This record gives sequence, structure tokens and C-alpha cells, in this order.
Amino acid sequence: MPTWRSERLTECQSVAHTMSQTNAGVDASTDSILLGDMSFPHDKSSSEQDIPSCKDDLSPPICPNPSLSGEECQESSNCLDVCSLASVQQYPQNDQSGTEARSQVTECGESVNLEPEGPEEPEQLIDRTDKSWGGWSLWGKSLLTSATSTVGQSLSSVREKAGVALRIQQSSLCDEAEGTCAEGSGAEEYTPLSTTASQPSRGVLSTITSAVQNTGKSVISGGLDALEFIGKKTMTVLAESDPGFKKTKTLMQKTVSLSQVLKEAKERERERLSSQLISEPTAHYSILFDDYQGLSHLEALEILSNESEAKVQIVLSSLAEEELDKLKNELITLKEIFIRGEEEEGSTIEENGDHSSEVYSATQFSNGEEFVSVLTELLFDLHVAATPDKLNKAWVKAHEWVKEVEQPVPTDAAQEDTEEETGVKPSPMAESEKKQESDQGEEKNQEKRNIKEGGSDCVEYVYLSSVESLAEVTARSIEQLHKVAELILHGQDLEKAANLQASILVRLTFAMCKEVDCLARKFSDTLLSVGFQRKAEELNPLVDSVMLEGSNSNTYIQNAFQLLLPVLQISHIQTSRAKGHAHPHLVSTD
Amino acid sequence: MTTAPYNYSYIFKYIIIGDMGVGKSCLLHQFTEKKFMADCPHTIGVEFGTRIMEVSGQKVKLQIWDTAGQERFRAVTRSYYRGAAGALMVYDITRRSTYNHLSSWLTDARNLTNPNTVIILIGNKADLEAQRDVTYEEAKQFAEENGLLFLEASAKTGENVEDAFLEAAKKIYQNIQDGSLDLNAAESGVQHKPSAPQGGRLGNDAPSQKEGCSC
Repeated sequence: MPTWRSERLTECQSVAHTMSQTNAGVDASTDSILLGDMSFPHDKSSSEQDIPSCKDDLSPPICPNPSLSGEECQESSNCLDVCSLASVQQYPQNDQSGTEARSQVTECGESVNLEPEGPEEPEQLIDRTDKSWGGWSLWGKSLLTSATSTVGQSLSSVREKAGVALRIQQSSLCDEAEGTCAEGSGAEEYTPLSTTASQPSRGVLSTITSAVQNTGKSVISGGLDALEFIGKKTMTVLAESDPGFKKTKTLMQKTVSLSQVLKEAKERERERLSSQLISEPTAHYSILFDDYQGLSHLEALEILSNESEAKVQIVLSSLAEEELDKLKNELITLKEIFIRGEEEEGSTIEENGDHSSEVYSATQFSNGEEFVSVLTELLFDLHVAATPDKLNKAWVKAHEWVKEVEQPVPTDAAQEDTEEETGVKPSPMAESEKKQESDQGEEKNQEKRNIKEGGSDCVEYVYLSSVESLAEVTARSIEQLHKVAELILHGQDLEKAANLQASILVRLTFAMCKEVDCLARKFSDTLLSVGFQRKAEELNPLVDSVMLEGSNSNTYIQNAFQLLLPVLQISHIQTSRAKGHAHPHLVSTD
Repeated sequence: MTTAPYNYSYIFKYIIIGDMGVGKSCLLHQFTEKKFMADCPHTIGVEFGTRIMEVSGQKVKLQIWDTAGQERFRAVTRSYYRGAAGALMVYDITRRSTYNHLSSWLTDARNLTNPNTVIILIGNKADLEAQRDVTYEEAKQFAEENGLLFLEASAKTGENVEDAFLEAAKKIYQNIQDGSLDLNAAESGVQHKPSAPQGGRLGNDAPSQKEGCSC
């Protein structure tokens, strides 16, 4: 998220960053712009990087989203006009949901589940969630639309600039929508009650997805100038209607099941791959992320989060007023820790004053080993028996290959050695994982060898390794958060107060994100240094792509982190109930 | 030329359930890696494995959720049953208690999955014939009474491991073919993806899911 990284944005980063903002701001009006027959070696990876920006539009989870925040909703009525204007043509049904949204706007308080009105029937809750989802998709559209009108213009100038022939393809929208619906079956699994109400959102999904993909292509093809231009425009537009990008951020984070979006992106990528032969090096972040079981862990974490949220609802609805107020305050305290962690980008964490803040500051160093020890200590502090073996291994691996590439004369033999070395770290815990990976890795190694043999420079190798490492590290980070959730829920007494656990998790997540950032920068530096003889037009898209994947990785990790909130909440409720409603632990320490 | 790993038409979700130490993770490992993992750590919550195999001429990706057997994780792992197309219910032929607990596992499996979920009973550690504590016949009878597929297997030698996953997959595919498993149904546990779509009109190949298109 913007604030998380903003202080350290380098030139490359800001390009990548603005690009992702661009994609968030593209809507129906641009999605019909399809690039002609122009092809670009890596355009695919750029289009798939756009995933996080469209994660606001899949079917809603069955239980109410924990954190629709009120301020975001307040402006939605302002946007409705723009939105309905923009969407009448292609999304007539949005008008309908627009009225729904209008009536729902006032209901979006600080938190859906912690509303002061008190308990509600579960059916009502589900019903209301559906409606507000309609509102959300509409609202999201409106923000995006206002950004789009400007970006659309920018795009047309890009078209001229780049001299690319573009054709308008109205039908692509329909195709996309069909495709999405077919793929939506996965989403249905967990949202059997929301089919009707969620349709508008799904429409938006396909729109944004295709918009984002197509725009991604155009943008990359248009070159860096265009990219920067659009990025600035989009930032400006978004900033005008959304100071601090608060809403954009929330929109991107809260309103969809991330695993579904990623799944969809992966399936698209897979379909594309299965219908063509791979003749040149391409990196498939979404497929690699799935290969490392990142999607599965994310999906499982979403299940736990949704079920915990439902349980919290049930408890809340069973309480009398006095107790309810008390519990609500406690749950809100927890939530504030999560939100603060997200917003303050961890810079003022020392306020908590316990020793883990020292640990935390150690994450400033981008060094695999130091990160590993930070990680281990934070997990130890959590008092859950989670070990970061796999994540550590991924980190070490990432640093190893960079080191290896940076060695003056990288030979095939050296490369093999290093792979061997990192590959066979004898950890019984990781053994099975290792073997699983080695199969998947074999093909890629083959690919890498081919590159080595085929061309003397290793720009492609570095690029592929960068994307793979980011995918692996992200998958492992999410797996780690999933394991933490499982251990918190596993039924034993909470050993550490929920709010302390929350603070530690904030730090843990921040450490992960920061390291992902460092890795992405390290990778792009390596790319730049290996590719110094390459033309900028060749090299820059690769660098951008790596930075963008880094930024996306960050977003996924933070999304996974947010899923932990209901888990901690229900864990807190169960612990305090076991102690006779004493709630002794939830006294704020800061 | 690396098209193979991405080329499959169906995704089936499997879960593996059963008491602690019956060899669930080892079965999975043998299935995905064709190797025996001697000292397998306790599974925390759930772990995952995938493999693409050919089932009745179709490439199917099995997405396998290997759950923790420890009682303390039971509440967590119950959350993962939902939407499974197949369930491998494993006991240890050398430990009677793991067999006796099957009815509890079966109750969970029935209650938490859909009626079409294919359940296969697997008696693991078939290589340890000398220590056998549960006869083939009684387990076979239990399976028949409850409408389960049944195999004895060994994660150590690999015997019947492949078949266990394959038999369940065949049954699921058969259910799809004869229409008893509705791909449209929520939680069927099956995703259909026509491989290598030509012209990219998904809706035409997929037999389903046209409703709800917003175009």
C-alpha cells in the first residue's frame, strides 16, 4: 500500500507504483481498448501484475466483512451520479444496485459487525452484507470511473504517442464476463447465499480485470514515458477524489476474496500457456505463487477468517447490552491495532516499549539471515508454536541466487553448486516441501540452463529468478500467517493476550513486507547491473515488472494479515469467556 | 515446450482425514513425490499437495488438503472439509483404535461435505502384515455398509497409493459423466476448465455457469 512504502520509493518504484494506481483507476471505458497485433515479450507478466488492483469485485464472502469503514462510505453518494452515468450503457443492472447502495450508505459504520444498534439475526446480517456489497461494487466503480475519464484521455494520447493502432472491441467485454462467470464457480463454493446480489460485483470484476490486463499491455508497449504520464495523471485524479488514497486502499483491500482474484488470474495465465508453446523466457508470478501453494494457504486462511467472523457475530448477537458494549470495545481495540499497524507503516512501533521493538528495528537491514532471526523471535513472542522454516528457506534461497549472480564470473557449474547447496538444507520439517519444489523447479532449471547456454548474459535468468523468488517468498509469508491463524485457533488457551499478539503480528507483517520490498529492490538493482549493456527499452520493463511484483506481493501479505483480525477476535472472546467474562488481558498497554 | 504442467481440464479438491499417525501426510507425499518420508512431522492445521493425473482420458489436477490428525486441530480442520469432491479416510491396519474412530471421521465427512463427495477408506501400513490388528474383511464390510470405496495401501512401499487417489477420481469423474454430480452446484469440489481454449469462449465449452453473466 502506498503509505507503507512511500518513503523509500526510488525512481523505478514510483513508476511501478503509479502503474498499479493506474490500473486501479481504469474502468469500462478503457477496457474495450485492445491492443492490435502488437506483441511484447513480457507484456503478459505486466498484465498479470495488475491483480491486486481489481480485487474489489468478486463475490462477497458469506459473512459480513469485518471492516468496511464509515468514512469511505460517506462520499459514495457523491460518486453515484458519475457512476450511473458511466455505467448505464454496459451495466444497466447497476442502477438497481445503485439505489440499494444509496439506502445502504448510512449503514456502513466504523464496522459492520460492531454496530452500536446491537445484535441482529444472522439472516439479516447476510442479507445486509449482500446489499452493501452491491453498494460497494458500485462505489468502487464510481471512484474508478472518475479516475478513468481522465486516464482514458491519457490513454488516447498514449496511443498517438506510441503510434499504436488500437481497435475498440466491444465484444471483449462480454467474453470476459462469460469467462469470469464460468470461473466464478470457485467463488460460489463459499457464497451460496449471495448469487443474485453479487452479480453486479462480478460484472465489475470482469470489467476491471480485462481493463487492467489490456491497459497493462498498452502501457508497457507505450513505453516508460507513457507509463509515467498515466501514472501521474491517475495519481492526481485519485488524490483529488480520495485524499491519501484511503478509499482506494480500502477498496483494494477489503472488498473481495483475494484468493479468488488470484485464482482467476492464474487460470487465465494457465489457459494462455496451455494454448501456446513457450519459446521465450516469461515469468508467471500467479502460477508460481500457486505452485508454492500460496493460493491454497490464502484460501484456507480466508475460510478460517470468515468462520471466525461468523462466530464473532453469533457471540455478539447473544449478548445483553452491557456486556455487548464491553466486548465491542475490546474488539474495537484489537481492530485499531490492526488498522494502526497498516497506517503507520510501523514507523512508530517503539511506543510499545517491549523488547521486540528492538528486534523489529533490526529489519532495517536487508539481509536474509537477520530477517530470519527477527522472524523467529517475533513468532516466539507470539507464543504460538509456529516455526518459520519454509519462509526462512525461501529467503535464504533468494539471497543466495543474487549473491551467486553477483559473483564476477558466473559459470554453469557455480550455479549448479549453489542450487544444490540451497536445495538440500537438511531440515526434516522442510524435507517434503523441498522435494515438492524440486520437481517444479526442474523444469525451470532446465529453462535457466537453456538461457545460460543460449545467451551469454543472464538478464532473463535474473528476471525469472526475481519473479520466482518474489512468488515463493510471498507464498511462504502467507503460509506463515495461515499457520499462525491455525495455531491461534487450535483450541488451547490463549497464552498471550490478544492485543499483544495483534501488535506482534503487526510487526511480523511489517517485517515481511519490508523484506519483500528490499528483495524487489535488490533484484532490480541486480537486473540493472547485469543488464548494463542492454537498451533501456529492453531493460526497464523488466525492472518495472519486478518492482511491481514486489509491490503486489506486499499487498497480498497485508491482505492475508487483515484476515487474522477475526481470528484474534474470536480467540479473545473464547479466552475471556473461559475466564468468566473477566477479560483481564485486553488492557491496552500503550 | 512446457505446456504439460498447465494443461488440465478439471480440478478436484480432496481432503485426507483420519487419526494422528496413520500416515496421511506420508500417503500424500508418496503420491506427489513417489517417495517415502520416514520421519514425518505432525501436520499443523492443513498442508497441501497437488498432482495432475489422467483419469478416464481426462487430465485432472488433484488439489489435496492434508489435514492434521491431532484432536486439538479438529475444530480447525473441520473448516476445510467444505467443497471437497473426494475424501480419503485413513486408518492404520496395525492400530485398532484408529479403525474404531472411523465412525467419528465418517460422521464429520458426511456432515461437512456434500452428498456427492466420494469417500474412500484406506487401510494404511499394509506392508506391516505381521503387526496387523484390523482384518481386510472387516474393513471391507465396514466400507460396504457405508457405501465407501476401500483399499489397503502402503505409503512406505507405494502399494495401492496411486490407485487410492485414482479410484476416487474415477468415481468423481463418473459422477460428473452420469450427471449425478452437478458442476454448477455450490461446493461440488470440482472446477471444470476446458484446456487450451480455442478462440477463448469459455462459456461454450463449459457446460454450465452461463447464468449470472452480467453482459
